[in-house]
Amino acid sequence: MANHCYVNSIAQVSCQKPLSDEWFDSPCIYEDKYVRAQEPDTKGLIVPSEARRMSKILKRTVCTAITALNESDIKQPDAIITGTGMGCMENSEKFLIDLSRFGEQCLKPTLFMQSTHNTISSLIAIILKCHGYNNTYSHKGISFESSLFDAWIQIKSGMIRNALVGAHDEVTPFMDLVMERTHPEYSLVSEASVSTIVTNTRSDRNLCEISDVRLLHRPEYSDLAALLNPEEDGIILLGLNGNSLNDEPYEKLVRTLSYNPHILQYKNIFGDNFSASALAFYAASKIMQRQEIPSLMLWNAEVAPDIDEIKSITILNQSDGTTWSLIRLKKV
Amino acid sequence: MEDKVFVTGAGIISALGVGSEATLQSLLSGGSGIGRITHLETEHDEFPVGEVALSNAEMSRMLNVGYPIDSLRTVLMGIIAAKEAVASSKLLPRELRTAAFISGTTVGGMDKTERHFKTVFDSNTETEDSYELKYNDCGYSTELIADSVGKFSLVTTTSTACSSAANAIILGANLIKSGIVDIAIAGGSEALTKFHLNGFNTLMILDKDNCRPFDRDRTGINLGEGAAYIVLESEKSAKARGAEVLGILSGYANTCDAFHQTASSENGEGAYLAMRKAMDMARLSPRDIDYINAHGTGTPNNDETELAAMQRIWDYELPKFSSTKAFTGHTTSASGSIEAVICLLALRHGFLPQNLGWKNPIKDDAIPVLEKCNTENVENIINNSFGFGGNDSTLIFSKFHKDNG
Repeated sequence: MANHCYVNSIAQVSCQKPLSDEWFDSPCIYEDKYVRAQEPDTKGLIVPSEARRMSKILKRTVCTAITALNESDIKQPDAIITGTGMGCMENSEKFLIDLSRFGEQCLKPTLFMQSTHNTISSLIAIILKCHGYNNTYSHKGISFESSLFDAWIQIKSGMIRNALVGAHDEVTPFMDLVMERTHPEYSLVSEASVSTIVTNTRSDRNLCEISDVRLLHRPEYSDLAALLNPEEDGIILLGLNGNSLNDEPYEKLVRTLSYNPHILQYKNIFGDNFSASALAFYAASKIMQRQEIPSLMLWNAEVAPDIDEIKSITILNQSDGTTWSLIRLKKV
Repeated sequence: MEDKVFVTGAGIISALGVGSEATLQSLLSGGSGIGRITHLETEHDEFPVGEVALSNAEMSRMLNVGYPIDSLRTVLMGIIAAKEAVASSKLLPRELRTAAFISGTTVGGMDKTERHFKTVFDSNTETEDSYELKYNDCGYSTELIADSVGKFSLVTTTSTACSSAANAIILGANLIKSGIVDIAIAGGSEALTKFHLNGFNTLMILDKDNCRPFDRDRTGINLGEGAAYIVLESEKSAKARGAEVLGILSGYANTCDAFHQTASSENGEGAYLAMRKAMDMARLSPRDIDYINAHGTGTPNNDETELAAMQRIWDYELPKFSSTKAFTGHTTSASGSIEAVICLLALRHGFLPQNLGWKNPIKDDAIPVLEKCNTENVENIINNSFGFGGNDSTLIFSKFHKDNG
């Protein structure tokens, strides 16, 4: 795996201002326990007649994907790889509601056609007429990392040159009620849509390099700690949210480390859902590019770490305490 | 980069029975697993399906598992197939510790969701049922299967509708080629649900009779269910373990038709590219292909465009081909691995599975394998899996010879 893999462009839709970095200097602060995404302006990104037929998650996906492509060096990616924990929830839910209300007759085909997880990745391919590798991962809170991992391996091994990687999750009001009961570890339930172009090619446009991606199933804390060192992993971005059910595994990991890293958080700004780690990747890429850390991202610290140059950020994410991921970003 | 990906184990459960041996016997005897619906609770008893004969309770007893697995059909079938794959490869628990487990599913625990959905949706207060929605997404299904089989180091889930299992196998192969792991157990599992039975019905592509892939008068799919996994292994690891090699995954490709969410393009561009690229990777020419296990769902659209894609490559000299969906039903996300196991059985036992239910050709020269075909020289088999969204994947399995291994 001799090649390099860089982040060439990235765009987000979330509870922060969509398709913008405005959160970096003036973030929206929420008191609620559940907040939906701020819808992006589809003008110039989606043909109006098509936008009307798309569910929320599909509109957000196309907006972030086209924006990431427009801001990149690449027009037609070699691969489109998508992560989504719950898939096209809104349409699945509507189909289930119709099933339980009206029984098994007179159901709507469109809801079913746009209910599968891979609807998202396929839609981008249809719009771009992209016949390349197209895959979708749906694995709880590491769905994004699974797709990034796939792209990273293929780029590093020379199987592809670049990829459009994304993660998208929508949370309907009903799903929020369910999640409050089934995921008591969340503190702010939100939605996420992130698209990024990753490439093997050096360019001034690149935000950072992805030097490592790992998916780890039920690792021992000592195994995780052994992957980290103060030189490369001095700054770690964790999925902390202030809820002990969620934070305990992260705190245990930090206690296992033989050094004291600078700890950053992002869920206080972006909330929690199965694609939240894609927003961590987005935020870390932006920090690498801008070489500054927004004060809201500091965890248990008042002032930003006194570092001349942010050389690397390591993102550690866990889902249910069983599945972990590591993404190591380096300055180009 | 590692060049060869060996297949050293296989496990399967479908309407043809539990395990590779039962599957082989059904394929050889020509007995279809398709029949009337018995387990799935639905009004639509007019549609024949390929159900796994065992009930959830029977599978739970067989595996000695309780809550929450005992009511998750995708998980139960997945465990049965994955355990057989691991056992057939004679993998030790310590060898699984560094292995990957990758499973394809789209339905996950939807069968359970749809049983509890109405109560939860109609109730504004917390009900016991709401907790029943927890373990039902794709990732949970995979983890429950993985954790019941061994202590794996890497677990993830592909979800590309009817090509999910094929794409799980492709990721497994890429993990081996890039040196990330030496062993990957990959495949898929999918239970029948009211959700997708009704979904396919809204698209008017279910056949009320037994399905007839590649027949001129075909009218649609019989849905099926099941699970299958194969053990992929690096050459180095397989040799070191002295593992029995069932076949070589010599080529594979994932492409996108990029045409429509539920229909395929007229000239089968995605299917064509998938087969072409897979042959390129395997360094095989079209002449080298002895048999195509087609996606062949039995819908007017799929079979016509798959045939069009095949004819773009082979013109009027098509290799022997058949769809085994008239045996198993269309097992959707699991079909890629169920048919991979069927291809491996065909390679090892030197036969080509027949295309049940066929009467008349779509085009004069497009006649599938009609009777069980015993043939010694099956060297290279193409296995197609095409999904909604134009997610088209092709796997090529080649016979293992000691001198080419």
